[in-house]
Amino acid sequence: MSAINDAPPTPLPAAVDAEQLTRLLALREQLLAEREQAMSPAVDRALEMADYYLFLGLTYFGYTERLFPEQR
Amino acid sequence: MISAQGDQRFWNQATQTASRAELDAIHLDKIRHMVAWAYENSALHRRVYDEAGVKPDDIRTWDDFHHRLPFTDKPDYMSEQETDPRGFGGTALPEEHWQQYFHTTGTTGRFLNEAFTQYEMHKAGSQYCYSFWDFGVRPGDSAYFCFNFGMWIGLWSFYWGARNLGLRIVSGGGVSSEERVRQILDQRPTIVIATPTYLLHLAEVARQHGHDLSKAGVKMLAGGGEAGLSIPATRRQLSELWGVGDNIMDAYGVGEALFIGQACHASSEGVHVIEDVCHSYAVDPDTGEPLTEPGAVGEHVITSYTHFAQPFIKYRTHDLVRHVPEPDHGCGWSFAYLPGVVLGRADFMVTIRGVNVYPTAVENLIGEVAGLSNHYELHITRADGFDRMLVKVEAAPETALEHESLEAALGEHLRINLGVRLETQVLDPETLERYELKTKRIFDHRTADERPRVTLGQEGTSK
Repeated sequence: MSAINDAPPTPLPAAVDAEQLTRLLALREQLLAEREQAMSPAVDRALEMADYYLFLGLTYFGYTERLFPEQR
Repeated sequence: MISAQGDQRFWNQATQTASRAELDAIHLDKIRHMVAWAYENSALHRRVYDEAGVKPDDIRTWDDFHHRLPFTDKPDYMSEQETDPRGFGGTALPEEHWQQYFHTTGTTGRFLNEAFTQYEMHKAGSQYCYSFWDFGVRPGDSAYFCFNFGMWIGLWSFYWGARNLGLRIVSGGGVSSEERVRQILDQRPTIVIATPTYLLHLAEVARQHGHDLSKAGVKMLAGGGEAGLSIPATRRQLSELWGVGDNIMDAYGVGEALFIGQACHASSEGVHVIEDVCHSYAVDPDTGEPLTEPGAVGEHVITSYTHFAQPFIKYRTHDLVRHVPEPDHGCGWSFAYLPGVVLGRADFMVTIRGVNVYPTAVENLIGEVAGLSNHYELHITRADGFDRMLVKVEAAPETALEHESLEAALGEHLRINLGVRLETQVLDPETLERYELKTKRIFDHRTADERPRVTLGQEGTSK
């Protein structure tokens, strides 16, 4: 998958809790790392589905650094 | 558990009440990402952008977006669909990521095939939550779906939205209308979801079998797919038949780009664009220039943020809308508003003796004539170089008025309000076809050469 490397800093609405966004992005990194070490296809798939839901949460922040989970 | 932060009147206050400047900044950033993604991964978009001599890095400002980036249109996708071995146009993600197929209803021509990833379906469903929440719907409420789940995405996405919010799903699939009435009376769902025409039809079926749906305990109606749920006369009738007061939620969709507009509770005659899932603006049908004049009617152009497997960027909907970027009707949402939702189709535009006649205006006026039902069809023809419109409408079952006097009353009401005289024909009740999904109301009998050609000033640049 391609990445968009020249993205400008993401503008966020004033009401966004930027600290929570930072925590959720860190959580996502952790979740993706766990997928790399998943003990079985079952766990890997479960974590992949969890990523979809987590990413949905990220989109409510006006987050635009990555637009969808497959864009890595 | 609901977040302790933010105003809980809103599904997502941070973006839903953000300033226009904040929303526009997010949009421009997302659009730039989408253009880059599509250029790198979709053969269709690379070809369209190369033909226009534009690269993703060229799109840095709104002026670039409005004036350098070409429009895309359904024929672009259809032509690639016809040659693609899988039968899809404009795709940007390999097939292993696709999780479900759909196609458009085909009410304006051939089906356009659509591919969705699992994430896209989640994201697409999220847009309904803004409206459900605003109407007071909460997890644990129940939603009854009057559909057999086929290939039309509209109701599937409603279903994803209901799941997203945590509603209890009651399926009305695979049974007759009479059985659906019985299920609704037995199950007493909070919300019933269907097209407005089908909601009217269900109430008729209930009445024929001695039932009164206003006693079924239903709190709210929701739907879309056709005009009606933002039409005052239709809303009044549905409110009485179902006993739901003003709890009638409209959703506006574009077949290719999903439902993108949802009603708020405060204003019943339009929908908000859900700006977390798309960018939307209106353009002059002749020049393609963005419309800035308040109240101006233009063609609706959208960029979807729920489509990555098959991007839709600066996509022509051919819907005519009034786009209000900063609404102020008391709901608190800052998302743009479309009063009257879809006023007509740019490619079905009817000009009679110099007057543009919008189908939704005709529907509004039909509802104001005593003795007529909400079941109607508009037949457009061309004779001697002039457009003509015949309004066929069923008489209300209970009316004692003669068809001839109803035709005269309708013709005069249309003439006074539209400024032109249309032909009218009143039919017996139950004469016109009933549809479970999108009702076909407009029948354009003009030849391709006789229909208006709307190019947005870019004819030949995006083929």
